[in-house]
Amino acid sequence: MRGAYWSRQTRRVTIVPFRFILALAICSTCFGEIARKNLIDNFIFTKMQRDGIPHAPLANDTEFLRRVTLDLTGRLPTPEQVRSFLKDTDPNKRDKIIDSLIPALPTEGVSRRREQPFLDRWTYFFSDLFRNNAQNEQGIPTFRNYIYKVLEVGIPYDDFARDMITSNAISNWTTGPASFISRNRVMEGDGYKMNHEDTCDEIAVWSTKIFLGVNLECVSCHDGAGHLEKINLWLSKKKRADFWRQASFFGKTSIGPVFGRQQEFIVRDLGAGYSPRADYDSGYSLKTQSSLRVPRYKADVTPAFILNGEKVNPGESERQGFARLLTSNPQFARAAVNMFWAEFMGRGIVDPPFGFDMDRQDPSHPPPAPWTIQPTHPELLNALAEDFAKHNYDLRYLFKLITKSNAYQLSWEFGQKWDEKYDDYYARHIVRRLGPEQFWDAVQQSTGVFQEFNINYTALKGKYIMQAHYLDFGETGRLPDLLVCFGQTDREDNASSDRSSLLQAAHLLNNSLVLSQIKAQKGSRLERLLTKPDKEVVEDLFLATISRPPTAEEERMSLDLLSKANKREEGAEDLLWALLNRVDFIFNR
Amino acid sequence: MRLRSDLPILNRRKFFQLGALSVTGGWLAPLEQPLRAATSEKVSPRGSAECVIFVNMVGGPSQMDTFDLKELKTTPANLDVRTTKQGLKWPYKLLPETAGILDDLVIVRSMGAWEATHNLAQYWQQVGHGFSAARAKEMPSIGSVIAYELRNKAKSSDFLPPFVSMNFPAGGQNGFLLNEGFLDSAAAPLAMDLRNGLDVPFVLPDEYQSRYDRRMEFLKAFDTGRKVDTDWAPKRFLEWESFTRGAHKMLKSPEIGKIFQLTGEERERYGSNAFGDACLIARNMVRAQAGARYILLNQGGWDHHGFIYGRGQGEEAVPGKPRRGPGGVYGLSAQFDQGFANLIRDLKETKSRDGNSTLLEKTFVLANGEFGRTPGPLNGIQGRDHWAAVRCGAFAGGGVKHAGRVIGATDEQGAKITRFDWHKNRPIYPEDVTATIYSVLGIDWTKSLSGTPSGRDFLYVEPMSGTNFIGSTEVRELFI
Repeated sequence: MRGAYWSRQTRRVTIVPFRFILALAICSTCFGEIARKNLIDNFIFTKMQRDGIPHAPLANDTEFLRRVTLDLTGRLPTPEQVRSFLKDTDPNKRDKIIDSLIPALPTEGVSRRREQPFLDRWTYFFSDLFRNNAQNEQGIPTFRNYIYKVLEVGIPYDDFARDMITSNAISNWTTGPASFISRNRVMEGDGYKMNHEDTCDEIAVWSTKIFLGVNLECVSCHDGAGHLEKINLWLSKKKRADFWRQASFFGKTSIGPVFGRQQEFIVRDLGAGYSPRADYDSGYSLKTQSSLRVPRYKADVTPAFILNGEKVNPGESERQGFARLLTSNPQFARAAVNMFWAEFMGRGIVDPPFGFDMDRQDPSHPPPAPWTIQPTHPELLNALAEDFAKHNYDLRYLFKLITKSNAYQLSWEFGQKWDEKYDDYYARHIVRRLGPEQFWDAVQQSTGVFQEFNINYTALKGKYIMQAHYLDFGETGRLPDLLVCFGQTDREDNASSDRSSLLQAAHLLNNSLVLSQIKAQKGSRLERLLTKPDKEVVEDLFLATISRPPTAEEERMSLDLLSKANKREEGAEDLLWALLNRVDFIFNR
Repeated sequence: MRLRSDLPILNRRKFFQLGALSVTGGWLAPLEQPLRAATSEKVSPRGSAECVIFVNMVGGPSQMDTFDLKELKTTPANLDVRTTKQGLKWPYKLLPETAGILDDLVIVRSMGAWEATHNLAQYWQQVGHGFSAARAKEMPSIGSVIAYELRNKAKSSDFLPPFVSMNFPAGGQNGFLLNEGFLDSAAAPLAMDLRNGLDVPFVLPDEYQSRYDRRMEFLKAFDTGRKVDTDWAPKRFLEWESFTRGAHKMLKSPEIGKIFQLTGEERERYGSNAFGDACLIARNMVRAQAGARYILLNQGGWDHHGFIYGRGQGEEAVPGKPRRGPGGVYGLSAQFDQGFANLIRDLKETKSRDGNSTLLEKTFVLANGEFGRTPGPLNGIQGRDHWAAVRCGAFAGGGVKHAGRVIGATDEQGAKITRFDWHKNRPIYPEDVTATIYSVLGIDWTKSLSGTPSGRDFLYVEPMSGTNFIGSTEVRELFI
C-alpha cells in the first residue's frame, strides 16, 4: 500500500523503482487516510479533503526521527538512537520519542548545564531572536543563562515576555532579562549619550515585532497612508502618532550607562528616588531630535496600545501596562504559535511571521478585494492560540502538539506531480536546509571530531555551537567565516538565513575544515569503526550522517567503495565524504 | 531565529526542467510572472568592455590627500607633493606607483554622494540605489543585475560566476549589500573573504585530484536525492544540485589553479596583503576570460576619523620588504597603490584571447569611496570625518579615452565642487556611476523589471533622487 514507506524500512528489500512507487503513491496519497491525532490534524486534513488536495504519505520512521530530533534538539539522532527506534514495536513510539527529547521539568533542585540539547537549541533560538550579541558584552552569558533557566523550569511564555519587558536592573551584566530592554538603546554622537525617544521607538518596534508579529518599522517614520496601501492594509491606516503612542509606554524607562564608555547599563523607570542618570524629561518628548528618523511633530503621545487603543491602568507603571496589554491580547498567542509553527513546518500560517496584517485575519470580516485573508488556516491559527493560552503558554506543550500531529509527520516525498497551489495546504513536508550552527554541529557529531572552545566570560567549555554564544568562535577565522557563509546572523539587523549558494556547495566538497573533520584521526568515529567489519562500518556511517540504514543497493555500492580503495581507511573516508555531500545530509526533510 | 521565509525565495515561480545551466548553478528559467522589461528613454549603451572591476575604497578616502591633492595647513610636509607630467598635483609619498600609471587613468574630482553614513552610502556604492527598508530584501546588487543581463552571453567554457566580490563581509549587517534580491540564484554573488588567508575551497592540490575524481564519481551515482523526479522535487534540492555542478566545474577547471594560486613574487609585488591578493585574483579572473563580469574588490580602512596622518613618521620603505607606514592614510595608500597600479599595469600588458586588444581595453576599472572627508582643520582626534559633498575617483580601461586627464575640480579646500566638467553640470552621483558601469557592458540602464515581490517595478537606475529629478545617465565624457 504505502510502497515508498515500506521499501525503506528493511535493508534487504531491493530498491523499488520510482516509477513503481509513483503508481503506488498515487493510490496512497489519498484523502483522509491518515489518522487525526489532534486539533492540528483536524484542520489541516479537513481542508485538504474539502478542496480535493492530495497529500504525501506519512514519513517513515527514520525520516521522522531525524527531522524531529533536529527540530527539537538541533542535533542528529545517534546511530544507537536510530537502531533502537527502528526496533521498537510500540505503536506509540513516535509520541514517546518526542516526550524523551523534551526534558521534563526538574524536580530535585535545579542543576545547571546538564547536557540538555533541547535547552541549548531553544536558548540559542531565543538568543538569536532577542539579538544577544556583543552589544551586551559581559551581559551575554547573563542573558543566555536567564533564557536557559526560563526554559529549564518551564516559565510560561507570557510570564517570560512580561518579565523581560518590565525588568529593572542596576546592571544588565548581572540581571539577564534587562538586556532585552537595554539592547535597543540608541546612542548618538561621539560621546556616550542616549537618544531617549529613539530608544523608546526601538524598544516598541522590536517588542511589537517579536511578540505580536506586527512590524511597525515603516510607520515609525511616516504615516501608512500614501506608502503601504499595497503592502499592509492595517498599517496603511496607521499614523506616526499611533506609533509614538506605542513607543510612549517606554517614555519613563531610562537606560543609562553604569560607567562611561562601557556597554553596561542601568534600566529603571524614572520616578521618585534612585535614578543617577536622569538627563532627560520623564516621558516621551516630541521636541527632541531623532538621530535615526525623520523629525517628529506635535501630537498627543499619551501611551495607547496600537492594536486596540487601550491605556495604562491607574496603579501600574507604563511598562507594566504595556506588558499587560501585550500578553493579554489574543494576537500575542497567535503570533507566538505562528512563529513556532514556522520553525517546525517551514512556513508560517501567516508568512513571513513578522508580517501580520491585522485587517486580514478574520474570515467573518474579510478585507475588500483584491486583498485576501492572510492566514492559510485562520481557524487553525485561532484554535492553536487559544489552546496555547489555555495550557498556560507552555512551550513544551505547544512543541509536543505540533510534532505529534500527523500534519507535521507527513513525508517530503510527494510522489506525484506537485502543483503550486498545494503550497498553502502543507500537503507535504517542506524541506529546509540545516541552519549554520546545526550544519556544523551535525558535521562534528557525525564525524565524532569536536573542537572544544571557551564560552566567553564564563569558566565553561563547550563542544557544540548551540551551547555557545556565536562569538565564542571569534569574529574572524576559518570557522566563523564558514558559519557566516552558511547564513549565520550577527544578531543585528539580519536574521539567520538558510539560503543556499555556490560557495556553500564548494565548501561541502572541498573546504579544508570539512576535509579535516572527515579524516580518520584519534578519537574520531572512523578510528573506532575501522576495527569493525566493512558492513558495520557502512551501516554505522549511514546512521551517523543521514540517520537511516543503507538500502541494499547503497550497501553494495559502499562495500564496493571500501574494498576497491588503496587503503581501507581511505575508502571509509571517501564514503563519509560522500555521505556528508548528500542532499539528505545538509537538508532537514 | 531563522526567518527563512522572510527572504524573497522564488516560491511563487515555477521552475522548469534543468536546461542550460549557468555556471553558477542557477537556472535562469522563465519565471512564472515573467519579469516584464521596459525602458524609458532612448539610450545607446556603449558595450566597450567585457568585464568591470570596481575597487570599493570602503570608509571614504580623503580627497585632499589622494586624487584631489590640496596643500593645506594641516597637510603633512612629507607627502612629497610634485606636479606630474600630466599636470596634476600628486602626493608621491603616498601613491608613487599610481603616479606612474596616470597616463592610463582619468581622475574625476567632481563626484558627490547622497549619504554621509557608511551603511547607507555603501548601499549606494554596491546596489546603486538609496536604501529602503521596504525594498531592501528584493533589491539586487549591481553585480546581480549584470549577471542577469549578461546570462545569454555565457559560454560553455565559462567556469566563473559573473558576480564576484572579495573582502567584504557577506553576512550580517552587510547582507543587503551583496545580494541578488528577487533575481534568480544564478545572479548571486560569489563572496570570498581573503582577509584570513587564501583558504578558498576551489583549488584541488595535484596529489588530491584523482581521489577527488573518485569521490565525485561515487557521489553522482550514490546521491539519489539529487535525481528525484522533477515533477515534485523540492526546489531546494534542484538548486543545491545546480550549485554543486557549478562548484565542481570550478574545481575541475584546469585554469582554476592559475586564478587562485599566487606566486610569492607577484604577491610581494602587489603588497603581500589581502587587498593585493584580491587584485591579483581579479587580474587572473580577467585573464582567464571565464565568465566573470563584475568583480568587486573591497578595501576597508579608509575611515580616518582619527590620526589620519598617522601617529608619527613610520619606517621608510626597505627594499625587498613590504612597505609600512605610520598608519592612517599612509598605510591605506601604500596598500592601494601597490595593488591598484600593478593591476592596471598587468592588465595593460596582457593581450586578450583574440589578440586584438589588451585586457585593459576590454576591462572597465574604477576606484572610489562612498564619500569624501571633511576639509579644513582636523577634528579633535587628528582625523577627518565624513563629507558627502565631494568625493573623487579614478577610471581606466573599457573604452575610456584620452586618459591622463582630470574631469572636474574643487575649491582650494577640497570642500566644494567648482567645475563639473560634464554635460549634466552637477556632481556625478552614484546613479551616474552605476549607469556608466551598465553602459560599458552594453546594458540599457533605463530598463526596469516588474514582477518583484513588493509589486513595485525595479528600475536599474532611478532618474530621480528623492524628490529631485536629476536625469541619471552615463558619464560619457569619460569616453570621448
